[in-house]
Amino acid sequence: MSFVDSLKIVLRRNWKRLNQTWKLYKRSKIGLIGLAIMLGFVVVAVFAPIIAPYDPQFAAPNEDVFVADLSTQALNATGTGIPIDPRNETWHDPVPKWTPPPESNLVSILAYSSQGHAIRYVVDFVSIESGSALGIEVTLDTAFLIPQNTSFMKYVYFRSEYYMTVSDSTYWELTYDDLTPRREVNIGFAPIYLSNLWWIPRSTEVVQDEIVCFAMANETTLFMTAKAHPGIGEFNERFFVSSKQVSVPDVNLTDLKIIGDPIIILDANFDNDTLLIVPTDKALLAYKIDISIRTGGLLPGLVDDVTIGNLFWYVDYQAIGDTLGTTINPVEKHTIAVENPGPRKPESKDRIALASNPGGNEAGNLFSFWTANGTFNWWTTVTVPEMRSASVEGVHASDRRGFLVTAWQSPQGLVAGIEGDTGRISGNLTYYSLVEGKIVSVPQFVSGNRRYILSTDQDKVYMLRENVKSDIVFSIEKGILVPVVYVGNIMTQHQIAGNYYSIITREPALFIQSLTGAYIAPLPPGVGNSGNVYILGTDVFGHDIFTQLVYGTQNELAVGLTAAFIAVGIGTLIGLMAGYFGGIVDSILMRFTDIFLTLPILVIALLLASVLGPSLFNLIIVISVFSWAGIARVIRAQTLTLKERDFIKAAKVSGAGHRQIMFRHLAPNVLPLTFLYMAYTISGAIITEAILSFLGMGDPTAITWGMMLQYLRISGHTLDAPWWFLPPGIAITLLSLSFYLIGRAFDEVVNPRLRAR
Amino acid sequence: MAGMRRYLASRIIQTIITLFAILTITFFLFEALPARPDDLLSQSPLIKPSQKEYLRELYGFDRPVEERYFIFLKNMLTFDFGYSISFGRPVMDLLQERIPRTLLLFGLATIIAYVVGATVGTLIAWRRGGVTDGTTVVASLVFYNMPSFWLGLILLFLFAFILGWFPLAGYADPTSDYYAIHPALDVAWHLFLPLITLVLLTLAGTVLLMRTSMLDVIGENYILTAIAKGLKERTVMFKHAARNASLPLITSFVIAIAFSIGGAVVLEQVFSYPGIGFLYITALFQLDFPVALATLYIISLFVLIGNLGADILYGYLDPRIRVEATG
Repeated sequence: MSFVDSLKIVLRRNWKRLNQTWKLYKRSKIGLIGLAIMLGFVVVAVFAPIIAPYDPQFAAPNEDVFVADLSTQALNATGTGIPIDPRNETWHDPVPKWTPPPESNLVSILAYSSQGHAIRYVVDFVSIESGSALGIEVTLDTAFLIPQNTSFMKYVYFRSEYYMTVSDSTYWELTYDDLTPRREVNIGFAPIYLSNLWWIPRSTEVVQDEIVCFAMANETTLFMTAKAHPGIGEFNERFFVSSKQVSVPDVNLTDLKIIGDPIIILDANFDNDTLLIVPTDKALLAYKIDISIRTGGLLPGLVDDVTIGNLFWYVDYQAIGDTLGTTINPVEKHTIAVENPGPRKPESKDRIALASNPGGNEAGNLFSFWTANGTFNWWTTVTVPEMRSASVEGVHASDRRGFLVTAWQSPQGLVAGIEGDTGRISGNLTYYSLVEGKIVSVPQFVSGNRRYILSTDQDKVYMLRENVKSDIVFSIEKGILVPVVYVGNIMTQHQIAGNYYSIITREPALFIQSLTGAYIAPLPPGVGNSGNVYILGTDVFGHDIFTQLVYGTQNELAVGLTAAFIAVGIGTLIGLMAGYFGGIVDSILMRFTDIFLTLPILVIALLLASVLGPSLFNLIIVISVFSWAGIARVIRAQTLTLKERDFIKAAKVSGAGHRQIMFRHLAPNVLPLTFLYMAYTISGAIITEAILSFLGMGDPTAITWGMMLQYLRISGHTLDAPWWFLPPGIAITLLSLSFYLIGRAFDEVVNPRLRAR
Repeated sequence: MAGMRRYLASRIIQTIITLFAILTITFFLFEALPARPDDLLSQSPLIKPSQKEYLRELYGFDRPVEERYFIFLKNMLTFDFGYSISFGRPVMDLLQERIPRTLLLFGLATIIAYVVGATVGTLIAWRRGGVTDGTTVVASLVFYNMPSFWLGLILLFLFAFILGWFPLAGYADPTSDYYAIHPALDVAWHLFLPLITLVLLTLAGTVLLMRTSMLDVIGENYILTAIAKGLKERTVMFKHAARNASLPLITSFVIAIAFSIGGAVVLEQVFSYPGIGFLYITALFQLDFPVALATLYIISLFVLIGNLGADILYGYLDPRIRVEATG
């Protein structure tokens, strides 16, 4: 007999009883309302992916959460008193090589010329001044490195505290106020490859430290410095240095030569490994960055040490080339890029793309690998209808997910968006642009403007729309180096101080575009700049409140039902045993129950939650441990009266064992009560989850209504974002209320005494 | 009253056992915490190994678990709580400062909620089925199922942030206008919002329970008799019905007291009201073990004493209980 058949029989047997219960239940108006609300939430939970407008991990894009104001300023128009014609000078990359003067402010320098002039801006004021007037010795041979292309978080960290520089074989760390190095470390070699400053956010949920990490290399040696910011309860910041010779042990790969900037991949979302990817001439190497963390229970974990760890995986170009029947010759610069899989998308994995020019062949190839283990992913030849055999110049991580490839086939340059999944040019081969000349600057994505900006050796500056379609072209005078650099959003807590890039063109002669604005999340309900609709607004991270609410329903129901099921299970079992056996068993069990009834539940639950650690499962345990006692008492009382009934006596006489009587005869008769208390307990569990989460014991990886309110509290927007503050509370109240009402209505069914009124 | 004496004795023994159970659970939960106060201080690179040893000894962690357990029991039972790590003050000082505030908030809220709740419950049950009854029941059901902190936040939002009638946080503010008139007025001004929140939450349950209980009683024959006798409606309602109906309220108090204290802990957090619950959570997060242990102990004591009191009162009022408990 199949399960369905047996179910049918059970149903048929109990049909009358069920029907009768429903008839009685139907009489209760509040019961029907409760049932309707509850079913409503169940529908929402089941159809969450359909109802919710976004993914649960969705966060509003930058153009929505940053309000930007674009202003253009022609530099020769500003009255600085220095008669210069910018077109007559050779301008170098903004963010110059310079000797910091004692009172200098890093962000006040943007570009400098070899004629000793500097473009300076102070947030919304741009001017050209002589280097000496600024107290800056502008020279080419001072090999300082200052961050480029830093995203706002990295930059603000840099700006507010200190910055790091490298000169020859010395690593410096300086503050703005006092240029006596805070730290001066001889790194033993002169780095030629330098990666950006990386800001590694907490790598696990409990780690609160921010780690600022800085990787560099010469041809054979890797070097990394890292520092952890003082965390809670921590008194001194910690500074870590680590270096390593690149090598692949036990394999026929010797004399590896590093040929590009090492890249750090924050992989915390994926497998909790932060990797250092090193391009060499024979292989792509991935070293683990070991962040050893000391967990501190109630405290967030603190970083103990940061080192370049073991070789995690490597990709042997020769081996892969052999299997593919081709040769991988990595191009000299910018050969690798890491696709950003987007925030917290567990199913997506980081991909590393590697650009290569097969020896002698004119077609450029792209290869990609998973970060997880270096598995080969795809390879592709970059071709578009106009260009059948372009040589790949570089591959860059795109801000729009996937990669941007720059290629060259005389006399045109190509920029194409490559899909991370397939390696194909995105959007049915329309995701590319041809430009005049060779692309000489890395395409920069200007998030506030939603455009890429790049320059070519044909004296042109291109602005491409984010779909890599050519948009605006500036022509520039021959021989003028074009510093197209997107400095990044410079952001203080919630304020962008500036978002700058500079372009030197013929008309107007030289200008700087700047973006100023503010970080405005939590967004009120409405339509964002990107066209996204936020029905209930967003939270401070840009998460859509409505989406969070919808997905939260699933977890709320899961926590409520599971916790109540466990609690009712324990309660029923203990109640049955106490009632049925009586005597000493009863006494012991009931005294035990009494203890649980008198415990200051929430206070001890908080303690237990911090012992167990934050997770949804642990919350369920905590809630059920503290909610079974009342049920046990009621079930015991019911069992006591049932025990005296004839059918139990009959069962006993006919030789039924204890277990049989308890589970076959008593249990079905206390079942209605069990259901009743189940409804009440669910109601309580939902509220308890909210309270525990609100007090910081919730599961930070799960979306629950309690966590939404907890984030509200810690974000400091408690009192100014009603669209964020009201919905979770209303939802908690309604869901809890629905189960409570169901309980009350069912109470009337179970206790006929109540029905009379 | 032999039954009463036996009942009383059994209740007291039960309370003592529970107290030991709570102390034991507490101690071992703290033992199980992944961090200890000396870990926190030892993080500093400035602390030398010998000083780390000193810290371990200072907090007594160099002794074996069982020895610490008995020291802990002795300290708690003799109210010897030691020094706070994070405040640098004797824990007893802190408690003396914080306990009256929480008692004020919690005690006042309980009294108001029970008096008002019993009255409202009586009235709406007497005139059941009306609009007032319906509205009150619905409102009570909603408040009953509302997370306490959220209700607190709403009130804070409306009355402190938007209207500016009440302060956003704290227990007292010597710079306020009210303080200038009288310090007590200032305390009342600060107390108002947390108090109202706690009252509303407790009230919801009390009203519902009193209403249900009254409806039971109203159906009884002696009420009919009293009305038939021609007694005034008020007299029947309050003297005959409400008095009998309020028995379950006392039972509910036993369960409510534990919940209510929990509610006070959460609300103190929301309103930054520096009472004992606020102290407990702060201490827990800062790993200030002496304070966290002492506050937890004191909160438990309150709950137990409250329970015992309610039990005794109930035993006194309802003779059946005494027999059941001992028999």
